[in-house]
Amino acid sequence: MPARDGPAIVAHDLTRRFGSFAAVKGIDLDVQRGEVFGLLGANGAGKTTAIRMLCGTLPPTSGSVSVAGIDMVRHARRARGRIGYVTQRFTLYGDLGVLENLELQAGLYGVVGPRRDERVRWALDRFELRAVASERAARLPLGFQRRLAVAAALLHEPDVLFLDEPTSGIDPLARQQLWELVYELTDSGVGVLVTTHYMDEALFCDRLALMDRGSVIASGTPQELLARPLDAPIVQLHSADDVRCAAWLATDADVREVMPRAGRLRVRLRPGTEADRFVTRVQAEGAARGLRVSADAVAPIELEDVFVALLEAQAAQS
Amino acid sequence: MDDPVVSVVDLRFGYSRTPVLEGLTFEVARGEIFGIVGADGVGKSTLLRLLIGQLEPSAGRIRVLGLDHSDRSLRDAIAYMPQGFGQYLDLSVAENLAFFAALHGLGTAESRTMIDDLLARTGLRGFEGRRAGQLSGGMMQKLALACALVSRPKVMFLDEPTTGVDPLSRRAFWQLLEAVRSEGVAIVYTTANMEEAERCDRVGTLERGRMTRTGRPPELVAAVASTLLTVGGDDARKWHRTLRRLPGVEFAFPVGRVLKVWVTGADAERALRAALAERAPELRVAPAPPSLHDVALRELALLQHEDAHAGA
Repeated sequence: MPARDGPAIVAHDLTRRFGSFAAVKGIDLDVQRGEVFGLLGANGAGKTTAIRMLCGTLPPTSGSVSVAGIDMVRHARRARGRIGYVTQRFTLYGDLGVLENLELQAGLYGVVGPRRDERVRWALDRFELRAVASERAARLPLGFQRRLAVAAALLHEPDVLFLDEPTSGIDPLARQQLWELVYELTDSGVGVLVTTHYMDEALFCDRLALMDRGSVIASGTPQELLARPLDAPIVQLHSADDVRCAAWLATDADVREVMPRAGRLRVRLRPGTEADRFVTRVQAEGAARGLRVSADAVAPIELEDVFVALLEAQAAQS
Repeated sequence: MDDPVVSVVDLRFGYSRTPVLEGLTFEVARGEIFGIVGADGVGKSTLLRLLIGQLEPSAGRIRVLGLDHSDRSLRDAIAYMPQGFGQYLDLSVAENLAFFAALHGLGTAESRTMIDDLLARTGLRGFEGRRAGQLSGGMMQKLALACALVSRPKVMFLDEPTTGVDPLSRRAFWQLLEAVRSEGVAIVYTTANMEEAERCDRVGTLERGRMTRTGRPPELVAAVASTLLTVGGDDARKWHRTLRRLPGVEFAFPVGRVLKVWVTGADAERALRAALAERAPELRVAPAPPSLHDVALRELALLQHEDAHAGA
């Protein structure tokens, strides 16, 4: 693979308008080689539009993108040849067989001759597709389709791979296997950009950017983002009768939200509420109702808490 | 004790010669959120379609609210949200709700009160005139739930309703569900996401056509006899193949920058620590309280392992 140094992809002041609507508003973003970069945000925040510009499938209204040092606008074909892209709805040829899909994709990326055969063999083995090589893509179970789509996007050994919600609706093992592939790719120097709605997965990324209404409103390593102060404190409570306790707490004036989680109750308080005083009070009031409530000294803050707070703060501003 | 809202006894079902469900027994109580999990393609959606009477079992018994699952009088008492969207994309939010109200035979006045209440509860007020096709994923989900609630169902069947929905909308969706549940509605909920399964009151695991384990999420986690450890430190990940071969190690999963290692047997943890102290003293081993995701991943990996050996 050529040009192994320098970032895999760099975008500067990237903007896209559709008529009067600005879907992406001047974002800066870079993915380094060997890095997993997580692009997060609500539905409609502009993630997919941003990715399509980064991949060269949608021209930006303004701003620049370069892939492995190659300018996306001036040398679109060459730049695109360095990118692999797996969309939310895998782009496969349903009527064609698995092998035919791979061969066709290889051709589209300019992978020909002995190299094509070698790469197709690699894909069939690496993604355990050999047993279904002659099956029509459309007839495969979804898990196989996903593997085929990822395999097809890697035939030309891209410098950067884009995975748009690769783990939506898949079981824990399929999800683990997808992430093990991501680690394998980053260990070999590929930059990977992934979008996900699962914040536990966002933790596996080296760096994250959170988009909201077309802009990046926060970015950094997961640890940096987790260290951001929350204005609404979170406490974690336990009660033997967690269902009744949750129903009761949901009506409490200091409680913003009760999030039951495997028998624990993560309780988000209203901004300005003192956590200690709240816990003492609900323990006393709970006892009067026959509910024994205990609390963890420190409630674990999750990325989801941080992002929900950031997005709500943005919504309150506008 | 109330009678169960859903009661399934020795349910069997298959497509032509392929058995899907091979003897399923479980119950769902009033006001309970019952999660159904299992590998992709194991038959979660098929099970829901059986429960709502859309498919007929080849054997066994399904009773919903004490009636046979295909009883016509159940139509207004149950709600079903299939995967994907069940709304009419060209109709507005208000028109969709009115349509579902009419479908369930609500009178004009009753329908108006109900729709008003649902718009308020779901936060869809202000979007009444918007076409469903123009809603964001999260809003669409709320509309789907609102449509499902029009008939005041006593039991709801939701098939992976939050797939592709962002965290903010997912939280709002769950708050709605919990409010509905606290009114006594039973909710049967399929999901591939174990964080969501942890929010259910009880979870049943579908495995090879059977409901192999049911219980409250903490019970399911506690039932695993093996121990989960994390191995952290620079380059911890590259040790995963080595660790997998150590005696007593069931699995070593790279997760982010660490390895999550399942060990079994009394001495396995000590053996692992000893092996690492010798070969990679820079790595740190710490016990990790497993989540439902960790437990489900281990179970699915065990199944795959068994299948691989059965095939060989």
